[in-house]
Amino acid sequence: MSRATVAKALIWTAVYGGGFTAGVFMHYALHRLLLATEPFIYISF
Amino acid sequence: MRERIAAFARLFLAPRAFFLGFLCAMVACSLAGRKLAQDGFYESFTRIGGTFQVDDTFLLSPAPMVRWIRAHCSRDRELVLVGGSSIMMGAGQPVRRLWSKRLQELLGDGYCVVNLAGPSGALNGFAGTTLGILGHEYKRAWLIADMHDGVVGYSPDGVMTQKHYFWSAYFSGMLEPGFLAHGQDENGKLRVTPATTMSDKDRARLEQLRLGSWLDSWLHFDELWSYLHYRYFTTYYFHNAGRWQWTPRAAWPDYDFEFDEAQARAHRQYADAVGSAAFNGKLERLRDLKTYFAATPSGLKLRENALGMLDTQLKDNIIDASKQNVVIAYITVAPYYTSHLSLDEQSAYETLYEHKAAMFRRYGYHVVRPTLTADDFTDLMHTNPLGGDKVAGVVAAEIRATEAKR
Repeated sequence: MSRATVAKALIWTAVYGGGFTAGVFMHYALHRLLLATEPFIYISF
Repeated sequence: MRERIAAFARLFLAPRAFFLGFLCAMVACSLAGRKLAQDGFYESFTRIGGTFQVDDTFLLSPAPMVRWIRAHCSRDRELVLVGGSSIMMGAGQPVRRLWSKRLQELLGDGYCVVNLAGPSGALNGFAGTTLGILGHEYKRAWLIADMHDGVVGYSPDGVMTQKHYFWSAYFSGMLEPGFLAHGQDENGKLRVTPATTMSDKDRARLEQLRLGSWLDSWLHFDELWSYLHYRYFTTYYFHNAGRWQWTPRAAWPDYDFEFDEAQARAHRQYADAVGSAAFNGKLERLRDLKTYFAATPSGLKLRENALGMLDTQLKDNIIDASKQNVVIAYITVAPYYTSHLSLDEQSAYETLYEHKAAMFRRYGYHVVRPTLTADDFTDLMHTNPLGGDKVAGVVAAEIRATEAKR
């Protein structure tokens, strides 16, 4: 395997990993966005 | 060299690898969330408090909750779902002396009591939605909620802190069609909330919440991150406490201690001594009866159509009390405060109760009223274990009496 192929594979993996991390953060962000729509209201008499 | 840099840049910015990674993460997280929801993870559930306190860091999800109920309540038992406000949640009662535990003792093993009441809740919300999911699976299901002198709404999705629970169940197809049908209008559209009770801001927020809940029914982000939050770590900044919270939810203590009657009484009276600013403030709010009553020369008179909104909400409610077994416990404000009202004001509260109770009964609800004294309360409206035992007593008696009539 040539050095260029290894470098390409490494970069591809890094970009894939970046996308994967972004996906996990997006999933978490959706959860936080959902939480933000529900304020905590106590009953006021 | 230049070409090589350009080739590297193309590769580094290649969207295919990035988006493939993004997609894989979304699918993996969604599948993990779906699996967790199906398996359930609410092992330590006792009530909506402590670990399960609903606030802006945690939403209760129907799938794991329903899973927990199915695991703890066999189908040959009668399911008793407790809904309602913090009064029914047992705010003011340590876990070991929770009123719903007393209710379980009084009813016996043939019944399974689950306390799903939460702050500011009414009969809809956690308990009402759970009834719509599980009611038909059990021999018989009961819904218990409270009514008090304050104003509460009866939208099918409950109060803001409980709306996700309903919409998550709705979009996941968990609600039984027969239950759902009663909340729909002639065009098959779900009646959400009488428009007059919602501001534009709240309506926009509700739309956002519904969209989020719909997305969640596909992507299960709430279940996955709530699970991690519950089991391993919490990464929320608590503005009130001014610090980051790292302890997992499962380690958050619920309100629990050995209840001492004399100590409880002393604490209550110390907290709001008669004549103190706090005491007078609450008394002033109790005296403000103009929402319901008009001042006339002959005393306070209930306004015409004062309970019109309640009437509409009960009529439109997704819960059909003429077919379901719904018991409403009426909890008055502590006599420690009301005894300082004038006789006219006290009689106004009595009139209000009679009209509200009659309205609930007209729609098929059972209404019970425990006789509570100043010693049964922990504050203005929350009962301590002594009051809780009385509430459990009247609710159990009503369930038994209804069963005996069948």
